[in-house]
Amino acid sequence: MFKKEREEIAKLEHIIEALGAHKDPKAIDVLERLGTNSPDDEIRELTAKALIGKNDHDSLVVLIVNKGKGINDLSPKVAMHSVNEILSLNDKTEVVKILEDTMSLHSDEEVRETARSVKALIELS
Amino acid sequence: MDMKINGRLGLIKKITSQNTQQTQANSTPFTSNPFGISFKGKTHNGDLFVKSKADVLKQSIAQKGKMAASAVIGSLVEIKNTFKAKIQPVIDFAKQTKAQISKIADTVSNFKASDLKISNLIKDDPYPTLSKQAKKLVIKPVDELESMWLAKA
Repeated sequence: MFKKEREEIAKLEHIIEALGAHKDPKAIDVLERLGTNSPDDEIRELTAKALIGKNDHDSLVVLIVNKGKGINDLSPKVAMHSVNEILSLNDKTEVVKILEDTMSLHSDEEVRETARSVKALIELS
Repeated sequence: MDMKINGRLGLIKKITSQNTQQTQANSTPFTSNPFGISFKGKTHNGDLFVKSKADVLKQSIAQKGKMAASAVIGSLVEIKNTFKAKIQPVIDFAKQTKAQISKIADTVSNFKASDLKISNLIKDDPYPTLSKQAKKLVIKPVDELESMWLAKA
């Protein structure tokens, strides 16, 4: 049973990886709907990695601005994984811009605080 | 009395003939010694300009030695030429190899690490970081991938 689950997750991992590299903008929508809303922490981690790997405004916004997704995930493991993926980006221009906008414009104090923390980590790294 | 006189005359003749013989001996023809070189009052009969047998032998040996040396040198030159002719292809090969090695050394010394890029090694691969399975899936439409995801979930 456990082996079968591992195989299923491995197959989903390939699908998420393919969607992350896909040039069609609809791939971001699929990853957001199915990935970031998945009850499985591992699937959410893989989705966050795929979206951050795109390093695109639309894909980064999903993980920074939305409460309960990406860096704001309720699971500290998923949230920290998302933060690590952001820190490992070579070009952080777009993500810093989104974090600054979130810090100044977002209505939720918790989301603003998380964005401030991530930006501080980027400046320290 | 006559007997005495005859005896003395005979003695004088004998002495005279001896002197004559001596004179003849002393006056041997100077054909081989035209300058009449004398030593301690005696004329030297021998030909001073004719080399002795030892000298002739020495000269002969020297001549033969020269000939032998010449023959040895000649053979050495021949051996050298033969060796050179046989070794020439080896020398040419060594020169060619040396040129090739120096060319490789130049290439290596001018090589920059920045020249080595994975993108240069893997040509025409738009997704070099993707796994093999993901590369098969990425070419499919997003809708199909979504259906596959829903089928697995």
